[in-house]
Amino acid sequence: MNSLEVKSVTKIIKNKKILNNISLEANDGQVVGLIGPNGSGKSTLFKVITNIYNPTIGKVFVDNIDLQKEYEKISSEIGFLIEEPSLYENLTGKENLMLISKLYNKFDSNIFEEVCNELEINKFLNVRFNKCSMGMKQKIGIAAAIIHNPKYIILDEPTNSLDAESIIKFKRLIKTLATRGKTIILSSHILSDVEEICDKIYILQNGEIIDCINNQENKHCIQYLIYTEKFNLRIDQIPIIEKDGQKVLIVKEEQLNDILNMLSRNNIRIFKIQEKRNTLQEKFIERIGYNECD
Amino acid sequence: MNVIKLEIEKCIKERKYIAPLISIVFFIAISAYFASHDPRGRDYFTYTYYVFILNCRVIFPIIVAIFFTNVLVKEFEKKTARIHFLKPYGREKALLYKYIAGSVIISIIFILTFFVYELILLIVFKIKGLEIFNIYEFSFKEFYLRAYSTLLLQIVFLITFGAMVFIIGIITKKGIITILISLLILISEQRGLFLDIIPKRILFLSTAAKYNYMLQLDKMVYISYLYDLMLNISTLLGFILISFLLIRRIELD
Repeated sequence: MNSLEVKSVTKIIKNKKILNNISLEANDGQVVGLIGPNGSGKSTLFKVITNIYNPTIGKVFVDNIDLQKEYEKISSEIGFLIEEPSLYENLTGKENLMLISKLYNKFDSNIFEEVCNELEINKFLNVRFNKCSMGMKQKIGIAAAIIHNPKYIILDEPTNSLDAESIIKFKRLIKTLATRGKTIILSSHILSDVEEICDKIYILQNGEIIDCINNQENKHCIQYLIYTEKFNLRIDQIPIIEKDGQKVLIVKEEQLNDILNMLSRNNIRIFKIQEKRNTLQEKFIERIGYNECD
Repeated sequence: MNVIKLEIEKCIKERKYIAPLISIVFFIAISAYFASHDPRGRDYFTYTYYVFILNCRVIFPIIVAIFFTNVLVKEFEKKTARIHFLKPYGREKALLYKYIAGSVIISIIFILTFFVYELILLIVFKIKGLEIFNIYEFSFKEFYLRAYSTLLLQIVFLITFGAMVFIIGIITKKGIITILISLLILISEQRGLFLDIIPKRILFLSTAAKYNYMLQLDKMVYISYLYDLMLNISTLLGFILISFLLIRRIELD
């Protein structure tokens, strides 16, 4: 059994199907990414996972506990930042963080100090939240999601408003948390970041999961583009496109020898062979299409 | 208990008491002005008490509507409801703690206002050389019993009204709409518009300031008083139950 499991969740809001039969899984110590165009349903899915929304159909299980039925049992193990940081405007960052950890009855001065140091928020902890910049707010929002040391961390576009240095530190923090056995689910529009830190990536489009990528496998997956003269031969299971009057065969590493032999047997002239490593961006464009990416 | 304390601390740090305090200072100033200019022959205690309790029908419910809306609905508007209601103790208890914290604050403000108001008017009456206390036909003990039992009923009425504001707030999730609906209900009751639908005997709203004349009665109507107190308490419990049912079902966004 997976430690976090979304089972066939559908969410309808104002007669509109926002999520359609979504299923996903996350194991202990796994960093799971959720990517998709704006309006694809990522935030809604996060809200269902954190019990902000009730699913119209389907269930969410966390440590085998039905989230909708027994949320209280597991709530202290869930920390989240969804959309913008929702904290008390008239309290300082420190007061907000103290309040959250006390409400969970899990205040630990060591964790508090560690989180503040990791995110470098010490210098503006005593500033009222409504006086903080967007970047400061975002960092405090991330701190608020992890201050009570939850096992499950849900972060919706956590790198929004962060500067480059903070993004690097944030990625390091996520990796550290994962090595401590935390399960992290996050979304981001910066695909290179998702690719760098996630073990598994779900692509969401129009409220449906259209692909699940094992990032480790994807990183090692090499494809070859074989540029040949035009031919009429039918080759099963090999994507072929036409480019500048040439045929381009997209071939996986294990298929390469067989295809080259076959082309040679049929006297098809090969112009060049190009190695292509599969990036998440390419995979994303391939699945979503250019129009959506615009 | 810890959560209620945190909730009270949060209300104080967020300065949610400012709006009620400003309204009360305004209330005391106006009442003091009228009392010093036109005491209409009444003595200090009877007059100040009469004015104070009479205002429980109007000014204090408005303050309560604004305050309880601030306490609850702002959490939805600012999306901090996610912090408050998704905690290990559950949504119902989170709502109850919030309600208790709000009720404690509003009760303290109400009691403080009463005593500050009495004190200010005592000074005003003394300066003006007006009559401080008439000889009543009943004892001082009876006098205090009447005065404080009426105050108690007003506090229970106000926190019951606050529970009603909570229900409206949970449904609408919009501050200004919650305040407007609450005030509309208040005005409608005062205009007698509910009487066709709900008998006065079971309408808690009709108990507001009902005993402002208590100090002028020969004989106190304790049976009626106790009935109204119980009516408020049972309505309050009913409202809390409805709030529990609603908060479980709503989405915190």
